[in-house]
Amino acid sequence: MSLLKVTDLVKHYPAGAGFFARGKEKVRAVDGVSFSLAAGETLGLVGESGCGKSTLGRLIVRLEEPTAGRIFFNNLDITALSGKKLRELRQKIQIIFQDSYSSLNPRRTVGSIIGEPLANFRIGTRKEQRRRVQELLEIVGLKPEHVSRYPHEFSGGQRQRINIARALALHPQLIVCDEPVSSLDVSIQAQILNLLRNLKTQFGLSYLFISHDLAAVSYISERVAVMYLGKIVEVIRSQDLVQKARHPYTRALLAAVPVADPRRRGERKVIVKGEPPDPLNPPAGCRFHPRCPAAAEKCRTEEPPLETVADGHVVACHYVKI
Amino acid sequence: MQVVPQLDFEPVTRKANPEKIIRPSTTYWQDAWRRLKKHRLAMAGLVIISFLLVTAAVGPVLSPYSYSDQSLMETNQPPSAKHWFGTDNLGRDLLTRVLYGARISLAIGFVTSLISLGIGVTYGAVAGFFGGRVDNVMMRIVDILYGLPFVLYVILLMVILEPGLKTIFIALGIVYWLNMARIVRGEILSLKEREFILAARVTGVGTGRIIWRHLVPNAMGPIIVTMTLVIPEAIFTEAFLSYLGLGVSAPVASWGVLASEGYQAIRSYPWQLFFPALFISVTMLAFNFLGDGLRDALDPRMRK
Repeated sequence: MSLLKVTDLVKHYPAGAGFFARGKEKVRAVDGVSFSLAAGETLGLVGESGCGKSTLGRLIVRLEEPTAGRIFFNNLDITALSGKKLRELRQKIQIIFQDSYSSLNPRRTVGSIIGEPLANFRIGTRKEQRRRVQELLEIVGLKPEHVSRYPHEFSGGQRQRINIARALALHPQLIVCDEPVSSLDVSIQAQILNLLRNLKTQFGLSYLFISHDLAAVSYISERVAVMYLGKIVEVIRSQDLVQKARHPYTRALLAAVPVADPRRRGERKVIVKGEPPDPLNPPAGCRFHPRCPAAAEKCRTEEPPLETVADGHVVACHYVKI
Repeated sequence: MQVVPQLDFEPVTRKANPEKIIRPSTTYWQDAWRRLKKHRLAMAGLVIISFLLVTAAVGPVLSPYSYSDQSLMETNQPPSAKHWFGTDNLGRDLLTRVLYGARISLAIGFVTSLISLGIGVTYGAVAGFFGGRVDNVMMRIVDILYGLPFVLYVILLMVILEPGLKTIFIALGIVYWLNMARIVRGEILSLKEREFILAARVTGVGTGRIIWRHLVPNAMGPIIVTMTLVIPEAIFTEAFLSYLGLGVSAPVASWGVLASEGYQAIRSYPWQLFFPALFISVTMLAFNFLGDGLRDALDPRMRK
């Protein structure tokens, strides 16, 4: 049974909003995305900047209203929940943002930041809440005496730990990690990734792990979904990623991962030219065709559907060998 | 092979209590106070304002005269040991009247500023938080009110309500919240996109709590600066209204009323204008210096 299921999710933003809006231009941030996430699974979501991966994350935690499509959580349609029911849902789905500083209120102490979810849902007495906050600090590897400090007194990695502690406070089932390690040093990134992995087994969490870093994503996830310009183009198991990825875009992303061994540099090179197209008016046919090294006539006119090519492996491309 | 002679090095024992190099933990307000203390003019302003507040509170009590006692034998006396600031055309002690006027003028300043705080912050926060059409409509209303010549509606208010302190509070309150609303709205607009607000929404914080516990506290710097700058403006505007005869009524005296009375005798008894005018100017300067200093201290980005 899937914990989270998304079908044909669409989010369009009106472009040039304001007094002199030019009418009906739309930024197609998320344009028909479907996937599902099993309980206890981590699904990685990769793509370059502006492909809509963060918007997708925010749609799932219901920070943004979808234009169309449905979101199911535990088989419950949460697309249009509001009021009390939405509040109930908030306990189950949490999010961790990229910018660890901006996601903490600078005027609040760490104790009151982490304790706020508990206070909101009136979980336990004041004393129990305080004890829970200290427990959470220890879980994420901070010291209980840090409760009375302010966010600016911590390093980036420590602040991200505070964010994780806040997300854990309500015992969620799903945490959307929106590039949680992208703004950290590489050494700290590894620490946070390991922390997230440990927490997952400890508390039976599921993650939707959004990133542009293929290495980080394949390290933490069981499956990886690759997004291009508002659409998912390939979903594949992490262990198959390097060997079996078929979509030309996925291959290009893989080729762009820096290789540490100088003798192996230049081995597999897929060169992707140009910038991603304007999401205001995406190209007809396959969205990747203007930059695709293998594009043919059919790609310009016909949009490829997502097709299953192997167990747990779907690709949207006309020319993958099946 | 020994590359380095062993004698050149000796092991260092780690001290139990290594030297602390982190600076002590300071809150936003401690930081602001530290910066404010470095601002000389602002501190001078603060001292003057405190002094004024104290003398306004105790001065009229300690004075042997009352603000309304007339002594027709001693009209228009120049400053002397008996009457430090002289007397007016009804023989009332000018020092007592100026100190009493300080109460009225400062009260007008502070009350107006509090009204602007109450209405302006609420209005601006609501407009900024909800954004879109709500914001558009609310801010156009502010623009329209801004465009009305305010003397006009002060006069209209005076006609409807009886002239007096309460009417002045209402009239000035109506004018000065506009600026506050604009400033708060701008702050909220940028703050609400910050991720800690999104995080608060995801953890189930209600709209009211987000506005009052998360957004407004983070806009406190500009709010306090605006409040401080509203006070001298309100005092000056009241003086101006008194000049037009729209101020408080006799025998109560504000600085504006005193200045306007003094002006009629400027040729023969200039001290009757000089002392109230001096107090008005010094107070305005003090508040403006303090406001400037607060802006630098509370909002380091705004520093010139």
